[in-house]
Amino acid sequence: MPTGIDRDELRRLADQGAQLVEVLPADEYEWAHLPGAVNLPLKELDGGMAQLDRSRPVIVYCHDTL
Amino acid sequence: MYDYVAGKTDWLAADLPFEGTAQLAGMFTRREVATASEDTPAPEALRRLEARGFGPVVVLNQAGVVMGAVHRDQLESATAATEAGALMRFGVTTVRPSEQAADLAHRMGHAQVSRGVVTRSDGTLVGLFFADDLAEP
Repeated sequence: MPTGIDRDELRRLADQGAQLVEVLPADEYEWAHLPGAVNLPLKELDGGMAQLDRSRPVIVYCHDTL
Repeated sequence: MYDYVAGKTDWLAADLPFEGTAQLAGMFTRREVATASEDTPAPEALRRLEARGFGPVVVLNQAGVVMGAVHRDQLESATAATEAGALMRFGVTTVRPSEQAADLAHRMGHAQVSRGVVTRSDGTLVGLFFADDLAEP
């Protein structure tokens, strides 16, 4: 179960190298996403996790509460 | 793994940078606007308005939260001792910088409103959005 964080905590973790993952569909990602975020739509999340650096924290987000 | 619970909606409403094709109200918002506190004398508020060249004067509290707005005609007719807080209109309609700019301008056109106060989700001022600014090259 992911740990819920707020905006301030996200910025702190991102400054420390955390990876941002938007789990919305590609068209919504292309419309707007957080700087540096990668797109792994929810349906592809399990397989796509292999692309991520396991040594760094991962922060997932969607529009609002999942 | 962490979950940014409030998500993209929260990020964009806070006027933070983003990547993508979106054309949001924050991108067209005039940031350098005339502001005053509630105890700013009317002549000083008017001077700030004239220096900026557009208005209204947005009245902020100490935290930068929008309390109201004062228009030129109110300032021009006030005595020198009158403070902006006594003149301001409370409860101005505000919009978020995350609104789609074209949709916002369209709605403003229908409502015959030319400008709007843009605030972050915590009520702090971003600036003023002028619908006509979208039409300029």
